[in-house]
Amino acid sequence: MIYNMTNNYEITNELTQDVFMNAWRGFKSFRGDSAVYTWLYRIALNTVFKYRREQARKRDKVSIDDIADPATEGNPEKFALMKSERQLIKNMIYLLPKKYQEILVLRYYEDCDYSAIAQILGIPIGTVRSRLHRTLIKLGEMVKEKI
Amino acid sequence: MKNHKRFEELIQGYLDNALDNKERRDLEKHLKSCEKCKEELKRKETLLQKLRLTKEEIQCPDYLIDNILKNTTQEEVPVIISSAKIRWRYLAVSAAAVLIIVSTVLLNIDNDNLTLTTKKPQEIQKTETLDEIEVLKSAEKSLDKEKVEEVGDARPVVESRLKEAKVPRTSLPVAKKDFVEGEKIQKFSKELAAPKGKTTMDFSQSEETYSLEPPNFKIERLSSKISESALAGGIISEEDFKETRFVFPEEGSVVGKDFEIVFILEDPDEAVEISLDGEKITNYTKDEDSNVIFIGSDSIPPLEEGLHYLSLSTKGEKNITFYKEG
Repeated sequence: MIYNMTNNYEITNELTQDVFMNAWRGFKSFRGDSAVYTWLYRIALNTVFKYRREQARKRDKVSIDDIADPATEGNPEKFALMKSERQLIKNMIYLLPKKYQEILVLRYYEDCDYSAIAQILGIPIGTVRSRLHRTLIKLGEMVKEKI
Repeated sequence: MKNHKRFEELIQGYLDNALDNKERRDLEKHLKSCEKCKEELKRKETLLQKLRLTKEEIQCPDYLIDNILKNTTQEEVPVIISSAKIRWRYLAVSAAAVLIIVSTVLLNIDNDNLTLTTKKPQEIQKTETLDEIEVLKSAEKSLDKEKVEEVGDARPVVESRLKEAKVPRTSLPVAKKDFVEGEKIQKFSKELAAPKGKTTMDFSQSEETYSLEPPNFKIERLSSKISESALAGGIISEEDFKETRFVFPEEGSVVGKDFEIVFILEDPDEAVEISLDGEKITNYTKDEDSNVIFIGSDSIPPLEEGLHYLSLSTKGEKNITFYKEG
């Protein structure tokens, strides 16, 4: 999951270690009322977005909640202009707002079902479907615009 | 229009295979008569196909796993004890964890070592070393079963043997080796048979010793019935668990110090009983839906100097006892 959100092998390794260290250190806060894997997913998402925020702050203080980045080396728009449609879609995902991006990754990269997604993101299960619907609409529009 | 929006969302559920029967029937019926929704379904379907192609998978490198294991096992950790199916490896982790939590956070101790020692029954009998642990072992071994029943508790006998011995605690064997879960115990025991690096003393082949850094407590397994399969991670019988203890061999005391011990139960609904020195503790923290139990220093009465026994039992099936020496 982290690789698909960063597209960078080294960063993925670094953040993966961070995820497990954060989980280890924060284990006392794990209430045990959800599965460990959903808890780990939450930590992983937080770790990735935290990393991106830090990178964004270092670059030009662009809010990562509105513009994502990861492996685009600071210029996602330029990166998104690559010819490959596959790459284009991937980079459009990076440009999605955080709340769309995380739900999309969990559902279509990680194959989490609605119930797991609801637990991981802390949202009602009914919201999962409507948010996924809006996510795909948004992504479709962005891809169409670029093509 | 409102109805149409509902069907758009149903399309999403349809593609995610997350509709109930009624929703599915409603949508399929609607799709027969609504071209717009048909197009929407096709559009999303195509996008999803392309989206799924963008997923990339990479192999997690071995060194990353090693790093994570190394880093996490070197830090203080919470305790994991499965009360439903107690496994030796859990116990090993939990024992270490409890000690680490209590020690590194709360005690004024030297930066020494934490040692986990297990001995097989015939090997215990062979042991002649006069240190505190050995005395406790031999005391336990020599306890007459009937006598214990008569007294009701083996601890006074053990304590008295301990006092008689007056063995300096510094005589405890020490070895440095990263702590691992029980499943790897045998592997490490072989490694320890040929100690290297920081190891500071020789081990007889009858002794399996593992240590954690930096605390300096000793975890002692007194059971005389540890089977090979149990050591390898199998389920251990109740008998095997009767004497598992945490020994705090260092000078100094936890008396008056804050500490926290964490148990994690496999089954959140499992009824457990926790007692300190035979007195039931009810003032521990356990959330309704949680399988985590916190026992803080505020959960128990002030501790005086001496041996203390913390035990966790589940409906008389298993009983894990931790001895704490102030």
